[in-house]
Amino acid sequence: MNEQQQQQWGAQVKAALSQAQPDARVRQQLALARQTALRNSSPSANHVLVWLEQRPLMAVIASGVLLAALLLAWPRASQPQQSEQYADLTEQVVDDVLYESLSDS
Amino acid sequence: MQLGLGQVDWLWLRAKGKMDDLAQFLAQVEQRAWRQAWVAVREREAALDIVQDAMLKLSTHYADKPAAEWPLLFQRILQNTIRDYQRRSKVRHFWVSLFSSFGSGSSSDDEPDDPLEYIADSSFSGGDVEQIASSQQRMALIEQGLAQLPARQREAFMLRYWEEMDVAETAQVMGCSEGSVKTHCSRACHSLAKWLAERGVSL
Repeated sequence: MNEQQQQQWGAQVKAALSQAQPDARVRQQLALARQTALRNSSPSANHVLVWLEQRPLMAVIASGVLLAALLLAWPRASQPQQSEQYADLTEQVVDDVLYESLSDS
Repeated sequence: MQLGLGQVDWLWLRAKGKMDDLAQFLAQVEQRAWRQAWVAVREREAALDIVQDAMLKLSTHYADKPAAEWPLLFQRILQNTIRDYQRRSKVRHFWVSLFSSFGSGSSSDDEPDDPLEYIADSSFSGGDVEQIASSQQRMALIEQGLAQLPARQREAFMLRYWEEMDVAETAQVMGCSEGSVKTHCSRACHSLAKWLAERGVSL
């Protein structure tokens, strides 16, 4: 058999084999296997991590901004005295506004 | 920061689109891939495991690659997975046969179940059962013939004629030279033709 004859013969073998397809159960299991494979690598945190890995500078900046935001927010949340002062001030303002509105009427 | 989040959103959408493309690609190739694995290992469940493994590897490690590269990558992964399975099963068979020689000695050469459905051909008018049966028998013999070929010959034959890859692509998937692919294909064709002729099968 030369190369061309092999090609023809191979095509005949393929045609003979193509007369059958996997049965319904196998097709179903293949579809399930495909869904499982795709679900395990869906675009999620994995892709964001890959993106960050490819851009280390952006990752450093994002981390810095996050850290700065936390540092700014932290003292406010962790100082109850200051929040008490704010509460007193708010109370005073509300009282004043109410008093003025009553006196107007 | 807003721009960064936008980029992440865009990236997520792009990745999702790519996953849709990948799902479509896998749906196109899965049945042919299963058939390749089935011919190589002759076990329904093992063939399914091999295909699932190959799909998982492709989607985990190579989903970011251009879609044009997926067919060759998938074939390469599939062939490697088949080879790994065969290597493992060879070791397992050795130990099983060693220990089973002490056992009852039940026959292990049972015919595998046939997980294939015959496609009704319009040329078989009136459902010529005899013709269908003989075609099924011929197909089973071709599969048996392919299964008894040496692994590299079968791999080359399936990639060249079942997957219709050219010599260069086949060489890339098999990790060998184009000359080797031609040699493997030639030997596979001769061996298979001879094996089939001995059993009275003509194509």
